[in-house]
Amino acid sequence: MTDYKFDIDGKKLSSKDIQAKKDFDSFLQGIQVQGKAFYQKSWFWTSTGLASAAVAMIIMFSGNENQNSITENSANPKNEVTSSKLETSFINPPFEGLRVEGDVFKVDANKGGIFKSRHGSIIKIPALAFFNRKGKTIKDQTVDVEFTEYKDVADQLISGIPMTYDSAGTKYMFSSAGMIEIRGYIGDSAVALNPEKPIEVEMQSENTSNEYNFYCLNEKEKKWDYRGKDSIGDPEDGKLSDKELQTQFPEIKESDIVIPNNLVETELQKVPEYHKRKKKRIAIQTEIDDLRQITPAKPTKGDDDAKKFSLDIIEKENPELMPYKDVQFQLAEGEVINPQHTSQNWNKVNIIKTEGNEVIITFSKTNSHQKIQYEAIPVLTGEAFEEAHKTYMDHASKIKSKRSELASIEKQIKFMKKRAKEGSVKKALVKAQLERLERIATIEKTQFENRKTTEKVTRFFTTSNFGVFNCDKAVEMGPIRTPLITDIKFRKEVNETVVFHVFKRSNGIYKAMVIKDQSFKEYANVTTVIGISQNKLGIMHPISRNGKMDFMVKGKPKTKGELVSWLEF
Amino acid sequence: MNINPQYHKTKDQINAEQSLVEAAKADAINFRPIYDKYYEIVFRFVYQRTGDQEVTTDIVSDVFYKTLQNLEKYEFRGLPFSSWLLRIAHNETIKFYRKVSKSRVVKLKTEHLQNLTEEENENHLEDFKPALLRALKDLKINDLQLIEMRFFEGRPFKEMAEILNKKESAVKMKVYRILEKLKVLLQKK
Repeated sequence: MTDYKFDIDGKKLSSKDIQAKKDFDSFLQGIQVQGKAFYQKSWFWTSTGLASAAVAMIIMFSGNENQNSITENSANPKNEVTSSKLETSFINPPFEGLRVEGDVFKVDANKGGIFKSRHGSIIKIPALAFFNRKGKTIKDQTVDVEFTEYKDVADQLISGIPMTYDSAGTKYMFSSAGMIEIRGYIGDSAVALNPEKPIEVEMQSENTSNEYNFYCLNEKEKKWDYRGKDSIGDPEDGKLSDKELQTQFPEIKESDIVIPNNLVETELQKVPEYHKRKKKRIAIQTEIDDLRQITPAKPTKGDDDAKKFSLDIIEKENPELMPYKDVQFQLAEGEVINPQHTSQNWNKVNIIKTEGNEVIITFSKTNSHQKIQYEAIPVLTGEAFEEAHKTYMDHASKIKSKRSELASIEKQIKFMKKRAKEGSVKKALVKAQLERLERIATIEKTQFENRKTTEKVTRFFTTSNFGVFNCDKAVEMGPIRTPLITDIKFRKEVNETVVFHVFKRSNGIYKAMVIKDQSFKEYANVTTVIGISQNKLGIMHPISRNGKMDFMVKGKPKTKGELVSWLEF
Repeated sequence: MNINPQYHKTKDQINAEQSLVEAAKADAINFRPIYDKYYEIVFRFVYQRTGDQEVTTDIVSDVFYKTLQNLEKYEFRGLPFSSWLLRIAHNETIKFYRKVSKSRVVKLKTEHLQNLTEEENENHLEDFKPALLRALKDLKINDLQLIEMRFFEGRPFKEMAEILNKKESAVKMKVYRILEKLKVLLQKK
């Protein structure tokens, strides 16, 4: 059961609200990216014969003033999407069912990708590069990107793409260094490119000249639009792109250089100042160690009322008390002298330092195991205390001074090490960078040598729209031979035929419509003149130049190979 | 029942429409008058079924694209061109609801329910309204859209038939059967 949401007496839209959303121009613009080119659809071939006949009739009845002009006969079928009519009638493949084979790349619209064609060309599609006909970014869908390369005159003939360029009213033939067609579809619906996400094309071209310009076929206005110059790269065979170079030979930064510590030390050993400071540091450290060995105990002032006694102090056992004169031992709090102990002769005394400033004094007899112990504090009184205090402070001050001296020397040594390391890094960096450049130069040298043997270049360009793109130069067809008054024979006499002048050396074709009993211009530089009539191809006999146009009819080419063999390329 | 005059044309008006269609068949640029003329009608038709302006704008764009794509197939049968256009709009709206998991919107006014009750029930609307809505909810979409067209949009049977690509008599019969069904459903509520 369907779930309904009843909106009772809800917001009513005014006519003004609705009219504000109406935009026919955008709508029309949007549909112009919709629908596959009509010549790519099967129904086209059922209607193209009729359409061609209609065009021929129009030419016959419309006078013959422009007989050598380029015929852009548009076979507009009656029952197709108007947008397709507008867009693609300019392209008219002459041989039914014969197409130049291209590649179809399945592109994740979210991610884009880099794809390589059967001829080695590269197409780089950014993420979110496609728009639907409403101008919205296509997400979560796969787009079929059709990529076709037209490499030679046979491809140009098969494609039906016009190869003429109109400059200031003068028509030129296009000499092509490579032509490609890129289209994008989801199912049968065409998609557009996001103008802000242009796709990059690295087209393989067998023509190394840099005299070629870059053109885009304006299918709507039926003309080629000049787009500037392409940029030519190094040969593709064995070539590393800038990105690949960067990956294989990344730029070296200071942070990439690692200098081992022992290398720095070795370098520093050569510096006398470093030696001097290191020696001085050792001397100071020794002095500090010596001072610390005889660190006197902090003197304690004796209590005048407390009982004290004196003992001989042995340096080895109690060095901390040795710097002081007249040291007495005052009984620790709570300790009382047993009178019996004072009447006996104790011939061995041991003083052991405990926590704080207290000591444990052990009295014993050498001839028995008897011993007694008292806790006491070494104290000084009167002038002895003052003197001891001064001694203690002088000692502390000496250590402090030496420590400060040591810190200063260590700072200097650290600084010298740092400088030495920086120097080593810089040297190593320069060395590493030079080595990198040498490696790249070696690779580039190899690439250059490869180029000489392959005679291929990569032509780089970007585009923000789908369509047909050509690296061309507009050339004149050469001097015209004496025009013929045509009497066309295509096995039997015919009233008209489409003629292609094929210029193999220039990799270009020039299309013209020839009408019976009208003059026909032939160009001196032409390789072959072919005629196409009723879907059949004929090659003009040389004898034709003596008066009549007679074509050696070959038939309808089934494959490109067959066409090439007929053209004897 | 009031019939919306927007959908009713004289013979001359229909013939004039036909000449616009013929011109558009020849060149897409001539589609502009049709687009301008019918945009609002199509928009209201779709908006009635979605209640969302943005969604409606998208669907309407698709409707005109499909119209242009299929213009050659359009045959003049003496009916307003809008009927054919609305058939496409109807199909596109169905397609939209197939793609999204949203409740089908039915926009209506209280007076539309009154239209329905006048034909079916003499009771006071306020007493009757909740039960009527519940009964409408129990209808299948194909039945509800007939009620929608006839009673909420005020379309003639002839135009409904053209939009739904059915015979007028079949549509009439179907509407009466749905009303019978509603009556039964209402008795249960």
